[in-house]
Amino acid sequence: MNPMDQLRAARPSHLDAPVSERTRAAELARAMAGPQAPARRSRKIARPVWGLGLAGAAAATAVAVTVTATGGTSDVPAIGTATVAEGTNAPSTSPSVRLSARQVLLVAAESSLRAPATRGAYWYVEGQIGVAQEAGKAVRYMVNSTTRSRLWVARSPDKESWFVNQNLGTRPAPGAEDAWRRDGSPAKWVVDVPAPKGKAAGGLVLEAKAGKPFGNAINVGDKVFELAGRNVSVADLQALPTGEGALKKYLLKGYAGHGTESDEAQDATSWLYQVTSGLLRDMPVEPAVRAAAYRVLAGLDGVRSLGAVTDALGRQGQGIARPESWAGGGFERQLIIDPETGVLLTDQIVAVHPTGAYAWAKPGTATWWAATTTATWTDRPPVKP
Amino acid sequence: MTDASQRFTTMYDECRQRVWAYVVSQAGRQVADEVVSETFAIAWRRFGDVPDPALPWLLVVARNVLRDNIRAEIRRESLADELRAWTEEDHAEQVAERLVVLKALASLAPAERELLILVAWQGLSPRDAARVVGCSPAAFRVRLHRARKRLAGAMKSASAVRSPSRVRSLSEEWS
Repeated sequence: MNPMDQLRAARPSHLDAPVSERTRAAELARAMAGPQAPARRSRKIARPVWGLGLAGAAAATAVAVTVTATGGTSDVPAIGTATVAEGTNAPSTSPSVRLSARQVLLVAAESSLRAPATRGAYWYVEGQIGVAQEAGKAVRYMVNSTTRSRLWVARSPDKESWFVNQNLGTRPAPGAEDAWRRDGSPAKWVVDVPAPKGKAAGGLVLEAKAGKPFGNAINVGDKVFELAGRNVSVADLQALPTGEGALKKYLLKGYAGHGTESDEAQDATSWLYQVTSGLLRDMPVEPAVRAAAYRVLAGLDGVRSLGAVTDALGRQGQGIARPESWAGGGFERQLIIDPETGVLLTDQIVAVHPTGAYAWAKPGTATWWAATTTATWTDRPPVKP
Repeated sequence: MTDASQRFTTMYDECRQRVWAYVVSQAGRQVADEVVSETFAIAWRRFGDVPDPALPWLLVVARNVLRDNIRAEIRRESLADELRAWTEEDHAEQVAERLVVLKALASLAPAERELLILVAWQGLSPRDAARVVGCSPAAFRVRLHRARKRLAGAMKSASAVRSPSRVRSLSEEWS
């Protein structure tokens, strides 16, 4: 026997001791309790600007947005000298070097191209939807109602697509706990809902306790999503144009002067911002189409950068925003993006100058948000309730 | 369970024991669970980067965790206990030859011991083992060849050395 064989034979047997069930459960739980970082493999992003806020780069006047792309970086504001917008106005506690909204969107477009393509029988999207409302009898305060949403979109038109929602219950909003206690710590609230035309205002009951999951098939024939005023199939979505101009033209064909959900007038830019955000949020499209969609957004007027923003689930991303005004006053539609991956983390409506039914909302309050935690192709079929 | 957590659990079940065995062989049982737990927490965070097969990648992470999170003197003490245990535990079951091999292994420099363990006990290919220790496959072959010769030499002299204190003093080199 040579020394290596002898060494192999001498392996202490306790090294093969299997892990105990308790340790296994604890280690798995500990690992998966943490957040998942975007994949870094096969691309190099040299810790770009959005990390500088934390690193205390308040004094920086010009920063390098180094996106070392494997493909072209044609119109990315990359390599060297991105301009810094509003950096000097940043609060001292969080010195932030801010990318312009256009820069954030173009970096997200580039990152989208490098996202790993996944395959499977279902497009699966999981996330959390939140709604803020004012409630309370003795005092008024804000409560948040959240819903876990899951969506399975079958690639094959012969299979059913499903959505399953679960009401996760209603809680006093962060900061509203004291007011809630003064209100007697209720577990149930009745909130006013704006009256539909010609009907009396009603009361909506919100409960602290979570509900049971419910859901149903969502496909109408092979059509599974509504995009730009049209019902589309997975095949339609997979065949969307990959050029910025062509995609914009395709989407705008569905514009008829009003919003997608109502007859209320809406200008074309607001409409396009909303429709394109929806596409990026949960639709199964090719990486090149996502990139084109981010470029469409980058070409829109009136989009501002928010810098580093934390979403309702505590995840940090780069925020961009565009004003919207409707019956409830002035709002902003905000997108929180992970520029390194091109993932749209959260899409939310934030009060700016709210009036009427939303007059209670302090400026800066997110009154509605949709945070996406998973969006991937999978072979695992819908989990029907 | 989501698709990612399902795949992660599969990877954990396939690799956990081998990661643990590696850490034990480098720093002893006392710190192994802590290091393994941290290693898989990192693996979850960076799951998008974990290649297939995952083991060499996990061993690199475990190696870094060991270096960064466990103080050198604690590693040293824990390993000294471990090496002592290899040659002292279950005397009844120890055949002489096995004892000689383990004592010889314990007497090697830590870097040489690591190479031998990766190949003989972890069953890694020289290419994967080279990745774990961070050198080129060519350099790895040279170092492995040297380590094998040292092991053979130490086995000859180890048969003469019976005192466990020899194990303790040699393991103190480890850092």
